[in-house]
Amino acid sequence: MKKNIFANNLTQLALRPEVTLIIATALIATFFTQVAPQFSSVSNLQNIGRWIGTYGFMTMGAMFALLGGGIDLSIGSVVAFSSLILAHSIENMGLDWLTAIFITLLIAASIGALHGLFVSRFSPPLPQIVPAFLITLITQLSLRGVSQFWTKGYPIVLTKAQIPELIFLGNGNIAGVPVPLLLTLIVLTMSLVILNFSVIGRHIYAVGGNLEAAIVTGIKVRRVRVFCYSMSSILAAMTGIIITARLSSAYPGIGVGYELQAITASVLGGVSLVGGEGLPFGVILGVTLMTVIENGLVVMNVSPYLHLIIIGLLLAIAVSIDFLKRGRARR
Amino acid sequence: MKSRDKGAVRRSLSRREALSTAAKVATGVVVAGVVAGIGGYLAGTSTAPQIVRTEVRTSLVPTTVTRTVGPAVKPMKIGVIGKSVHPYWSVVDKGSAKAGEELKGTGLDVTVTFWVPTKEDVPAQLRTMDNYISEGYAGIAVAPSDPDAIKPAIKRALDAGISVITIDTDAPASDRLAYLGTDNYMAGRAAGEAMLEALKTMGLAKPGGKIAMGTGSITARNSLERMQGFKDVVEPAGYKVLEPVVDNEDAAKALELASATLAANPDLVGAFGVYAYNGPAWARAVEEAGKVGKIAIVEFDATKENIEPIKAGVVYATVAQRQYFMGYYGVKLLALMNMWGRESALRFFIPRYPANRIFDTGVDIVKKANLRDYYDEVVGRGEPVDWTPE
Repeated sequence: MKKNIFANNLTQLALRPEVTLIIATALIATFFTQVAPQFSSVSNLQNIGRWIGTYGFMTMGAMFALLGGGIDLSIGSVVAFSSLILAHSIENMGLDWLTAIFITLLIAASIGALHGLFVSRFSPPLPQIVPAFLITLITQLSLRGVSQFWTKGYPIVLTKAQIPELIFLGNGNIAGVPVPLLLTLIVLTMSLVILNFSVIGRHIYAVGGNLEAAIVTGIKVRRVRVFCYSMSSILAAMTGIIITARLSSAYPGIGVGYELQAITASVLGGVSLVGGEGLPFGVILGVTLMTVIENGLVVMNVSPYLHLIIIGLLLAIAVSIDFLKRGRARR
Repeated sequence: MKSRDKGAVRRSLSRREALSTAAKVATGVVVAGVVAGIGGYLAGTSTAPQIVRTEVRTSLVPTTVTRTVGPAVKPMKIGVIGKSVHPYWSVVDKGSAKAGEELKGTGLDVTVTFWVPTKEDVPAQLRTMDNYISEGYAGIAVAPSDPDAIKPAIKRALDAGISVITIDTDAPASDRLAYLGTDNYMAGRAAGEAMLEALKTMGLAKPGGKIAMGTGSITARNSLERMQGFKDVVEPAGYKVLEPVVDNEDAAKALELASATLAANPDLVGAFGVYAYNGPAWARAVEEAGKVGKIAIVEFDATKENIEPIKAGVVYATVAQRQYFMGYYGVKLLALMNMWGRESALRFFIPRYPANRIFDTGVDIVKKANLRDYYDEVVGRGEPVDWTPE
């Protein structure tokens, strides 16, 4: 009997999406290294790490929105907008870089809070995905519009020598590990703690998993949603901040389509599109897989006309395997 | 014939007769005007309707008739359709607006409308074309994001009597009357020449050296032509050009891809940035990799982001387009076509027309050495400039 439970646990573990992702990533990375040894050079691994870090924030943001049973389509626009806010407050308003970051995050948080309040106003009675889809789409359009109207398309360029700390945030390494990756790992740990060991974490899963039950149980649904959407926007803003630090300028055109990239990586990492299921660890693995594929294709100097086909095929394979396994796990 | 018509006008006092007479005058004068009018379009006095007005006035026909016969200025709406919200298009906007002002200054009633979608968006461009057609615009200058998709819309406009030209990006398979813009293939060749010069000057010239390219699109014709022109110059000189890396117009992605390319090719000698932000992305990636001076960078366009790395010595040269003139001459050509008829205007404007239908606005190669001169020239024409040469 005991053995049986142990074996059962092992199968359970093997069936987790995280395991699929680790194996898939390892296989693909080995393949790339075989074909193009430069793939596993230190500078390229740092490169990959830096971009996992950069995109990791917003993907975890997308995860928070999805877990709570919603969706956040405004991520890309929030990335661009917060990037502009940061650059503007440093370059044009002469603020200290930390203050500027704080203001940027504050503005992002309030955008997210508004999303949460809007969704709560209309759901129930509506299914929560409907107002979520609409309000975040509205934000996506209007924030992008504001960014473009405001800058007329010009980037806000930061004068370099002024803020080495900010540059370090984007380009620096600590013991060879890119700073954005370290920051993402910190956020990952925090998310793990919030989701697994705190009351609000359990409430998020409850709201996402079964809204009516959550309401009946007396969970303060509105508070949970405000938290989820704020996290989503704050983390998107983090991505924007890191990108600004890396480019030393803020472009109003960045981030188009990032929300879909983030949602894809989340789903790849085992987050359910209908809410209430998924873990941040898998999400980071999802980002890793996508970044590794993209980077590997560039390193192998594959014709860009083939990139999307290859990425699409690889994702289709990864997702199908995962779904098949999950179907088996449920049975 | 003219004197007889004049006499007729004097005799008649009824409105109908005056009208028909004036129509005859008009026909005669239009013929004469087209012949006589060439060369003086800026003055705006040589247009047919205005000559009609003069004729009628000298013959002392009541003012009511004057209004019916020939309104002093015919309102003319000209639309300019760009590709995306970007500083590049702001300059085109300035150029078109300037042309509109100048035309207005000559007494013409010209309204110039400039429109761009927020990002490259083919359906939105088509919608705007259709709006302009239904609003009865006199002329449309369009920079098609997809030269093939725009074909039917161009045909619809021409069928509706609206002159259509392409600017910035051509649609050669369509019936567009002319193309005003950078000959992107030639501009690519210019970039290639600049690259060879850079490699020589920086002491990086070696046969078989690898050169990378970063671009925002592998479907847009301008991007493809630039890359082809570039390749056609550097490849015969013995360099190996890598497959381009494509970021779909995302500056953050451009940097990611540039860094990956540098990491993958330690023996890279040169990098070419096809879109405006690609050059700065290469510059940033080269700085991060600590390879300043070991990689020659040539880029496109001249906004602050492009000029800063040139001042810092990270980028060798940029190929600056003259997009101001695409808007400026585009609007003027359309206005002219509306006043003189298409053929006369095109013959006046475009060398070797009709064998040639392309008006190349040309490029400037801007380096650290000629930065000051370039600045003075651009500022001199009133273009918006967000950088300083020092």
